[in-house]
Amino acid sequence: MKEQQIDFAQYGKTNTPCVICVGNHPPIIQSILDFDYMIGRKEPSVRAIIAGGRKFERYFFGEREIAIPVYNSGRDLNKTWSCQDLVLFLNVSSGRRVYASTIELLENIPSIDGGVLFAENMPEQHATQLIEYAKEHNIWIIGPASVGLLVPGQLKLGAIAGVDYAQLQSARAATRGNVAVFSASGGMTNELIWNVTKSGHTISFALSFGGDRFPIFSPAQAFLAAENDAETTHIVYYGELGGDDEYEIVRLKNEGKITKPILAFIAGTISELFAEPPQFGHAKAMAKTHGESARAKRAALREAGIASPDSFAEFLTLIDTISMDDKNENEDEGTVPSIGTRKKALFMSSISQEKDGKIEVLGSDLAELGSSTTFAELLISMFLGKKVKSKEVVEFVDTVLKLLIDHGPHVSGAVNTMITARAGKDMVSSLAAGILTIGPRFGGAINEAAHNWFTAVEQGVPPQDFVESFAAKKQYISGIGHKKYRTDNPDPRVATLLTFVEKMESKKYTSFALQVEAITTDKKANLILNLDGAVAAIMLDLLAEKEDVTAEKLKECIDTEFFNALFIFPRSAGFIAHFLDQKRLDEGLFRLPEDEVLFV
Amino acid sequence: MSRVKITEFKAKSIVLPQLGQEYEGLHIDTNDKNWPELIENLTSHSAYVVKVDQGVKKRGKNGLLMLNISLEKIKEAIETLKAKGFNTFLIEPFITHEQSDERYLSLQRVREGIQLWFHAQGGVEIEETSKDKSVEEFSVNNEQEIKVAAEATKISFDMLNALIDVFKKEYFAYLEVNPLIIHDNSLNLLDLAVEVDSAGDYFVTTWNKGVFVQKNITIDQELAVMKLSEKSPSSFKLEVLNSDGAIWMLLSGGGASLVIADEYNNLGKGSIIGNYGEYSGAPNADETYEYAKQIVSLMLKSAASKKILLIAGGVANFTDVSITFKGIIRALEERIDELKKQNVTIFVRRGGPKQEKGLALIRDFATHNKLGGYVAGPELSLNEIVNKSIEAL
Repeated sequence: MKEQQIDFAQYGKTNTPCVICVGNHPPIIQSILDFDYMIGRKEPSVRAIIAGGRKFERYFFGEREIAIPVYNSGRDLNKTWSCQDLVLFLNVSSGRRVYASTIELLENIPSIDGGVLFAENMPEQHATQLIEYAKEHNIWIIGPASVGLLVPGQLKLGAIAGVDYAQLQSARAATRGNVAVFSASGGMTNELIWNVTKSGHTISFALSFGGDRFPIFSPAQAFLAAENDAETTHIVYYGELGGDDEYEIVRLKNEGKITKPILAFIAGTISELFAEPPQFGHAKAMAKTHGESARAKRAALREAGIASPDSFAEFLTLIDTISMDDKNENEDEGTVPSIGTRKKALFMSSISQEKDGKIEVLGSDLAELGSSTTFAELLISMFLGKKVKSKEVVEFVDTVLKLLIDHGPHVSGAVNTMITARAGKDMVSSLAAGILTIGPRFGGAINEAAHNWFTAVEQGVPPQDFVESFAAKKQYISGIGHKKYRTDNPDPRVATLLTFVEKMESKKYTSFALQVEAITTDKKANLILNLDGAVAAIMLDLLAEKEDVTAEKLKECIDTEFFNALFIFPRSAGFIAHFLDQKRLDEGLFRLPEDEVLFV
Repeated sequence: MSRVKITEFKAKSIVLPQLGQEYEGLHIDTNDKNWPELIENLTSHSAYVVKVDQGVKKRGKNGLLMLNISLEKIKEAIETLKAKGFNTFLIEPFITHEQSDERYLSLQRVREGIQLWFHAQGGVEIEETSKDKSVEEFSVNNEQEIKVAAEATKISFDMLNALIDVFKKEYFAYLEVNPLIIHDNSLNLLDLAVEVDSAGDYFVTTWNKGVFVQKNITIDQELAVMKLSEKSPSSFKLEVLNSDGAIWMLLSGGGASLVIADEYNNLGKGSIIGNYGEYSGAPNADETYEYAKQIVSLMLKSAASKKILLIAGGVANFTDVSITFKGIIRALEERIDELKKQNVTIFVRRGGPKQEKGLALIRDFATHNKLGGYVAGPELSLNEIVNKSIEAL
């Protein structure tokens, strides 16, 4: 059982915990970041969001705008997740999805210590299954229908204590005190925090179990945690009619397992005015039996020596009379920082920024990079969005840039550039005219080839089946085939590039491409691995083996057309050369001879 | 929502086929004018049972259950029961049995999983609410436990296992068979009561919100709020306690609404409370308007000579006070002339996100329209606003 071990006092005390949010709830997540900022953290606790759609969600940390990475699933997150500190989760997805998404996350991130379920309307069966799960895996789950857990100065996990910065300040959420607040109702949790604070006390920790029938983290567990917490001197509790959680508290009190003074208010005597017991706001709030009534629970609590008044007014008076002598001496009454003015940026960039008049590229001063890196290294780093570390990649890119800079004046892009230059147009127009021909038939095949090799290797498609699937659809395979080069007249550029993979361990993409080539050249001698196909395969292998790029990231490279950049960039240089050349030669406007167009 | 009764007809239609038993019940809704025709199509049996099927307890005691009725007398029997104010009935073949064979069995979802209660003497005497000592109790959460329960109850393991499977698969929260007749290869569920977990409706196909036993809601405003709640991710509740009440409450939060209603009751004002209700879960302005409109309309209809409207709630965690108050103000504005004419006094106490803006809006509104009362933030406690409002009565 986890019961004896939970010590919320330790949560977030020294290190910033790592919080994973399932679902995106802007006001709640922002309030957690505001709390982190308020207590002087340098970095926010929320590290990841699991949701569909975007790759980042933008939030503020103080005045600074930040982007929190978004993952599709716990499985997806697992591939990159690392946290040396306490790992917690907050699930804000709907009652329908909360069970499945929680299990999915817990199975994929086993280092999770505990978390909060925000959704209302979660089936009872799912709650009881999670009770079992939590027990078996030695974790805690607060909820469902919980506004969360607050350990002032250390942790805010949920909407608890409010979502406005002003609310956090008035709840004195930055200062850890000595009164624990527990409640089934989310609203009343905050109301009690407010009342305790108003009476001059501060909170040691506060949590809402949620108003459902089977709170996964039970009131008894919470009371034991308060008993266990050295800072807590008093427990303030709000309960309602329905269920029998209070009898468990009575039992713990009678057994001497809880010794700290408890102030308990049980609401719901209004139920007596109804002929048929009605269902009140919370799912649990219905008294079918006498024992479930507010009055019976108050009586049982009182019998066990727990203060349980009949009116809320008396309850507040009791809170006011909690002795100030118990106040934590170390309470820090310092001021909290202002969150300042917030302005949402129109763009995000992870490539470069202008900082204090200096240009920073990938976090380094460009002036320094100018002397410390080669052009190829800087270029491929910027294309990838992160600094490359292996010299093999840099050398390969350097070679590719050279090999792809030109392929003679006859290819469509060069022709277009030359025609535009001769029409008297400027450099940018002529270059644009050339670049605009790059696509599925000219130069744009590298990305498509990368897609072919990557998908087939990831899905374990045998080369034979791979070739067959294209043949069946009567489609060309991007990366295979050349007009001029054949098996007996191989492309010398490809041979040069292939030397880069010779020393590599797995080179699975290149091996696959070569296996495909062996099959296709068997059919026709010019169906060789062409330059596009070779660049794609080798680049994939180098990124995977030398740069530790994950399969997900490789997929992202393909989706974002990264591989085509390896053609577009050098060839643009080639087009500029052709433009300058045409201007120098100055032959005048080009017109196609009549016999060069066949009228049909 | 939470645990909700479904009709006995629906419950048996779900359970029996999954126990491999045919079900020969007929559901009659007398709101449908053609109900007598349905009876003519009944399969022939020598006698029938006719019972009210609206989730009413102790039907036997209250004469809502008619045994051994011949085919010709069914219509008459239904008319008799209908005269007592019911409209949903169940007709089943009448099967004779020895009273000594009657057993009691119930299953309930508890924190640990599923719990089974059994009593060797079935019949109406056993209340699920006050189980006496002779009721045997079993946990039935694995094969071993089910085996133990099966042996003790003399129900075949397969039958009991199948029943528990149905319970789980169909997101039941409570099932009670009383009386139950146990045969070697079948169970005769003479009376079956089932409560489903309404949150499970997304995961089942056999039942939905349409088959819940409806409380006979006759008040339009309650019905409107029920519908509003069904189509919103936020939650809305409204129960009229006294249509001529003087105290009308527009409350937010399941907890704070109870506290406030309790305080009026504590101060001896229970009999003049018009309604209980609450909205929560960050509703938008339109939804809050729809909700407030219903309460305002009830209040204006009340015959009480002095009326107060308490707009109150705790310190919200994430419900935007200014947005919800905009909706409330719209509903009040719509009936402002009548509110003034009836001298309705408005009292407000609320905290939470955007509280300054929300409170300022409603303060301006109340001052401008001379609706008196008091507008306060969290500095005034929940019970204090109740006290203040009572002074106006």
